[in-house]
Amino acid sequence: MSSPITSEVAAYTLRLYVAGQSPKSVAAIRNLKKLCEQLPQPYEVQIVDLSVNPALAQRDEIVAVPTLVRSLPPPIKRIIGDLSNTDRVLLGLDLLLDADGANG
Amino acid sequence: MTTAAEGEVEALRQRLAEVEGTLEAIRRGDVDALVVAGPSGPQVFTLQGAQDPYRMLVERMNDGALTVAADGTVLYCNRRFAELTETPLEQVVGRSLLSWVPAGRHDSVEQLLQEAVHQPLHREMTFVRSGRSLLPALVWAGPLDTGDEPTLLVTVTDLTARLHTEELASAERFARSLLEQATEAVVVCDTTGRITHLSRAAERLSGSAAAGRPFHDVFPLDLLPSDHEALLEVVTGIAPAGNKPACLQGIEVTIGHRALKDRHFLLSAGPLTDSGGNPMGCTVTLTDITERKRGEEHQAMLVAELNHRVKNILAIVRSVASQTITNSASLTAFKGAFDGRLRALALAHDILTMQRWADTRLSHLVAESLAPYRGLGADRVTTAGPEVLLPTQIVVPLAMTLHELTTNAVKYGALSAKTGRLEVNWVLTEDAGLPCVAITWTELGGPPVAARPATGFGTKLISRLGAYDLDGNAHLDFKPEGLTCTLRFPISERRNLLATVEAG
Repeated sequence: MSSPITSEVAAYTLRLYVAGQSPKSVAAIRNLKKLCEQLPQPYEVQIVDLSVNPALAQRDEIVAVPTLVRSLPPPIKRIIGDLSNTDRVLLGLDLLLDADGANG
Repeated sequence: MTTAAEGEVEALRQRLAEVEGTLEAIRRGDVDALVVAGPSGPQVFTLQGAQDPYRMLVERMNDGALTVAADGTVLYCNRRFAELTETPLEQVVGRSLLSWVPAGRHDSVEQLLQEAVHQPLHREMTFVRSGRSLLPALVWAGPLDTGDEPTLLVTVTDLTARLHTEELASAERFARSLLEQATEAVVVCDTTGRITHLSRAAERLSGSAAAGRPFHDVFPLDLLPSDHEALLEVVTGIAPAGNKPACLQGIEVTIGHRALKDRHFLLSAGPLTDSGGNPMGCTVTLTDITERKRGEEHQAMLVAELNHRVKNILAIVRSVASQTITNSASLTAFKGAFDGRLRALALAHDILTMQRWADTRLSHLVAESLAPYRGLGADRVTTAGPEVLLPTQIVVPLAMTLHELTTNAVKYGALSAKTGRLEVNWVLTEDAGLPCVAITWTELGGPPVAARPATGFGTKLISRLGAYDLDGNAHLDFKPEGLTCTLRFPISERRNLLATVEAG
């Protein structure tokens, strides 16, 4: 199952894998929503609940939950955890550089 | 190193970095679930803390919640189930669910568990608590997919409150139906003495809207001060010296309503208490005993009257026997005359009994006295006269008189010949301003009456009855063509006015 947060002609595709209402999953969803406000447009976010369909974990070889995957643009990037450290997340997803580039 | 080899090393380095990152995230506690390979594909395993919200929900929910193996063994239960079954929490896990079910119901629980492995279902059941009391419950059971042995999720909802509410509602309906159908006046009051419920009979008695009003206003009872105090104690539930107020039973009262002033009631009252013994008010029953009282009075009067009459009858029988024997030439003659007179007495009493010792119609008495001779021919015995009600004390002497006249007519007079006729007529008239009845007995066509016969007992009796018992007079005229007898005696004006109105 996936839940797009925003969808236009996506330059980024982000997938957040969660496990039901586990505290880290809930925190990750909350933090991702805040994070999205800083993202360069356009982007697409999907939230995948593995407690509903664990088989979806195979797509991005998910081992630990929550995990955020930047599937587009390549290469694939992963951030594991509840996304509470925004700078680390943006850095890890190469979004800071891209954001600078987009702004420039 | 070749470019290809460098590329592969770089890719492996990145993979290694990812794996290290994942391990570091797990170590830091950044994740609370892991995806691992299971027999039927990936499975999510949540780590400690991840399920806290669920655990809190389950632990704090108001229903018992358990996971149960298909054989009924409890694998987990929440605190609520332990409380509901009055079992220490640590003693629940590992025990069979059947251990809280009466032995006779094990089959149905086993069936429930077997069916619930395939699909969720619910059923009302009764558990036996550790304290042996019963726990009515709604049990929901459904399959829990753990991937291993079949396991069930079971919730247990306590139905005690619901059943209690249903019982209360049912009791209320029962009480209301009792009240509605009660033929007696039943009134329920609260502790302030205000009426909360009353039966239809009580509503009719109150004559106005009574619910919500003080009992004493609606039913102003005529009570002795001591009874009044006792009733007050029952109503308020407060008795002196902390005693429980006693029930009041069978106190005779009247109600101070104009419409009810002639009616008598029996008052009974008893306190109403709740399950804790606290006063809630009282029930008061008013039974209308007016008819019963009248019946009792009537019966007492009848008994006294009967005594009086039996004495009178015995005196009459003695007198008749003594007189008849004096005037009889033989025992056979005595037997015939005495028997006839006794039958006349019996006839009078039959009529009085039929009329329940109330007023008797003269036409009825005459018709009954002459009944044996009606067969002589329709025109030989005729009677005519207005409706006259005879006071009871007149019935016996008048019956005796008519008997003597009839006997005489059959033996010597008009009814002894084939062509003789008898006319009995009466009119209402006045004597010295008082209403009286005058009966004329006329015999015609019988054997010629030669002269006034010797004064026999019959003749004496007629004169005596007329003068003393009827409080009037009897006149016998032995005309050659036949006997004529005139009887005059006073009657009650009021009764005969009524009779005239009824007849008119």
